[in-house]
Amino acid sequence: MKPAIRTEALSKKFGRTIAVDSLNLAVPEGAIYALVGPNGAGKTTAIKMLMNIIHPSAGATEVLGIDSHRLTGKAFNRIGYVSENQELPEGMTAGEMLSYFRAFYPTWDLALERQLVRQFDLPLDRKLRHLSRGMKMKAAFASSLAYRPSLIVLDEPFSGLDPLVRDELIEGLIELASETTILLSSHDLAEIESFSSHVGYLEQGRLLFSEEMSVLAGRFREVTVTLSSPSPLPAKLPATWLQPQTADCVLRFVHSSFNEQSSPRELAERFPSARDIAFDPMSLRSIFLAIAKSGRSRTTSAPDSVNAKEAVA
Amino acid sequence: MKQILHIFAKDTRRFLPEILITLGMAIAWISIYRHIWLSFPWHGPITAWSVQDGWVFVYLSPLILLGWWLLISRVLLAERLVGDTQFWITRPYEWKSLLAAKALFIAVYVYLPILAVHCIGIAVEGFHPQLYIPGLLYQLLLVTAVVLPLVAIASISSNFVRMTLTLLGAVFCLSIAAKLPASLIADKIGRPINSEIGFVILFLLCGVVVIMQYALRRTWRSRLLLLGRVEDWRGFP
Repeated sequence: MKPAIRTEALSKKFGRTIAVDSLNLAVPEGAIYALVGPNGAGKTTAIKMLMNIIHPSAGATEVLGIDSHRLTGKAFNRIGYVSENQELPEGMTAGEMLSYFRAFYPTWDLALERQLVRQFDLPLDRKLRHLSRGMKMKAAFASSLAYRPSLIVLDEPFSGLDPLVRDELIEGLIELASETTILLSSHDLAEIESFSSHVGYLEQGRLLFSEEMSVLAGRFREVTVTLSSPSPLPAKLPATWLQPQTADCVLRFVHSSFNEQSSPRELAERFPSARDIAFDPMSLRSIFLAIAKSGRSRTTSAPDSVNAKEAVA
Repeated sequence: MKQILHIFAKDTRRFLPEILITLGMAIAWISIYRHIWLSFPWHGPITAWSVQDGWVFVYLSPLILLGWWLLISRVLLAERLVGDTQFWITRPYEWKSLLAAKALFIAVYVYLPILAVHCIGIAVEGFHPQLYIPGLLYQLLLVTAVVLPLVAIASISSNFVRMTLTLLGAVFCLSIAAKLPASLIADKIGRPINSEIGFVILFLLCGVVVIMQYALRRTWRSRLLLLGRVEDWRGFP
């Protein structure tokens, strides 16, 4: 399937700082792709380059088959973009804004607009500058979904919103998900997990992994090995074992390349005296934290992003 | 064309109070001008009213200019070109339509009132405006010589305060340059700073910067271009 978004060695430097480093990303058509990563990982910069808001230092990007450099004017008829930092025409009321944007989009669906207004409980007669942050975000969502875009790009859309507003926005998104591709960056991993089909993890500007959510969930396991006697942390553990730690007879780590068939056998061979070996599935949040923490400990001990990539990929 | 009119209508709605104030001031200005003209000695004796009118006239003129400046600045910055958080940059705005909409706004709410004021002034003085069309067009050209640099500065400014500071900085630098000895600022062939060619270059340069900014939004390039050429303007290399 042709990807809706494709980047090739996309890079962005701000002075000496590398914000995005040779990013190779492919978002399949129809996917709900969550781009996650710690603060300063380069998510917003990457998205801004995709949307032709800022220009890359190197590399190429294609969005819906269009080179991002040419993403202007009518090309945005098929793209909806909402960002936490995005300004709105604050002098307008929510109703005026929707009415203003309506004329720009040939595919604007008035019925859908009304449905979104009802669903989000938008006060059409109030100026945007007088609305709460949550309400503004709802107005931005409504104005970006009402024309049924082929691609929706959301940059930290749920940041700082109360759970009720988040749920409402996610519901609005999910209703359109079947007919569009969604790329979103977010820290709200619990919410993302509930509806994302793909996930990419960005750290220090580099994409550590990018895969389907089910595959990711399948290959990460929290492993607890109960040994017969207390023992220190074994030397030379595989790089794919993240955050290994021992306490008395228990060894715990996160297996980042778990295989249902081979991993239990391999572990049993490695720890023949083990009384029990347990493999627990992990939530996206736990996976994210494990990767972030192991990345940080690697950075402080031996900065080597290639090894970091190998460890989690 | 549809998009041009759509943006123009939006700006008109948004800046209606400012538009009405500047139009009101222009109407007041021309009324007072008419009154003063009719109070001249050849029309009758000078009265206390005509002296008072004279003072209002003196204060009103810079206020009108200030009003037009605010109107132009605000309408241009409503869809500012500098920054990466503006709502319109990820909407299907065509840059040509946006530029044309802003130009239309300035034409309708600044140029047209200026033209009307001049025409009425000529008529008040007892002449027919049609006879002075070349002069009127020349007046508009002179207005453009002020408006175009203003538009160029607005296109490379992120907000009204920065725009104002840039403008004041430019005026300050140029006034310093104007006071320098001619030998310091003349070009190699001895042209003085206020040469017509210098103005034409600056004029064209402002046009290039405006188009470049609207088409590409490469702010630093545009700023450097404007800065570099202003340096040229002091004395051609």
